[in-house]
Amino acid sequence: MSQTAASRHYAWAKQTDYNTQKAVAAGNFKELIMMDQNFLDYNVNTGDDGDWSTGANTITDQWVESHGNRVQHTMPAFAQQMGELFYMMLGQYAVATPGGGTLSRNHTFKPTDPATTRQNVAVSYLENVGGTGGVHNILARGMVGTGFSLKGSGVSPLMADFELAGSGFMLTDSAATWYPTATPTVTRRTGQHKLFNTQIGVVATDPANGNTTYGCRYRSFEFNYKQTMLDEASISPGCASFLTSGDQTSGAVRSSHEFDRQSLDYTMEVDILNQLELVRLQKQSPIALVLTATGGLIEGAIPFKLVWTIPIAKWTVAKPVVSGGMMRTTISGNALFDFATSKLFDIVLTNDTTTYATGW
Amino acid sequence: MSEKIYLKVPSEPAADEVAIGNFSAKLTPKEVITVENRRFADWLVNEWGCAEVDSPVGSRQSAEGSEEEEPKAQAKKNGGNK
Repeated sequence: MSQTAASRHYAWAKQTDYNTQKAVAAGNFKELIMMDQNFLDYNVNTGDDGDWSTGANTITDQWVESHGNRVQHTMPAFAQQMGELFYMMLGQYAVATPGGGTLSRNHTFKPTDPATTRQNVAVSYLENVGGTGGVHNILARGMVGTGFSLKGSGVSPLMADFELAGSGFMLTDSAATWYPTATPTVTRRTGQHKLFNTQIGVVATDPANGNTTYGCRYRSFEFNYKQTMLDEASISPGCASFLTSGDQTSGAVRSSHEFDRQSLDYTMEVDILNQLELVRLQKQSPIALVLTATGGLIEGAIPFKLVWTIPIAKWTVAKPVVSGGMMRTTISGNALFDFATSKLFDIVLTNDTTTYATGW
Repeated sequence: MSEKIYLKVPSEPAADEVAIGNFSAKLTPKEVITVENRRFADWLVNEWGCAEVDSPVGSRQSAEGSEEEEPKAQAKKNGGNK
């Protein structure tokens, strides 16, 4: 039977710690709805004796030293699915019920404080082609986030590009089952609510000039969060972590994967109006930048909503561009850590998911 | 064996549940929760207004001998309802 792009499936599940794979059991994984057609990049790192004095003019021996894997995906801005991405990428989380809410929850995400931990949550990740018993069934353990970009343009849904870096541990014959198998390993997602670029509002405030509400001038944005990772430290020889437990010849895998530096940069495009953005760039004005996406109602007067707040943003670029046949201003900048609120930025996501600390 | 650290949740916590990295805790008002990581405990105290107590039952006496008031939420507003 032929397999097409429609035969591809992805899923993940939050692990309790970096090294403990999520069990392949009914309902333990959640389907991931992705826009791309990417698959895991897996590599085996080998050593050989090519430079040794073996007496041969070529390689006579090659052995496995370690394994690595990485994958990039793009997910649509489903208000529910995105919370899992934010939880594993950012690491610091709180959930509370908004006033007047029963089903609704406000989920707050911000970058992990490294004074507490540098190990963010890892997921067990599934890829499949062809459903249960299909032609591609891999499970990768210990996948952590290295960064993501949330972006919007035109009248389309928002989307998030992201990258996962794995421990190198991978099963090539996962027994995970998929819909329509009864009580499958992977739970399908239903009732997902999309957020669109047409629901975006952006406000920039600086002490000298007050609020700028971009309103109809707003066109597009891209916010990029990155973490550099302590890659070299993550394969520790003393931990004796191998693809096959206890077997050094099977090759080493990571025993942890901690982050080093955290950063946020952003780009926006707005219709040109005046020189204010150039003034903000030249004076390096500290700007409080708030981007809001307001969706449909969950219950009562409470909508699905995403609010991304950068307490201290500074521009690095503010210049006219010709885009879509019009004169616009492109703005780029960085976020700075705000000691007053102890954050680089935060995201408040309002939806009908009870909690992201468990359940996926 | 990991040290057990007992923390009393404020009477009006700013969130229902919190997490950082692989650590998480439900913040049920006035309950005493047990954690085993000192840095996580410090985060709960500094960020969410929990107070360290001596045991799962009751609260620690101050140096002056008077009972401590129940800890109110002194957490930053980061995770609470807006």
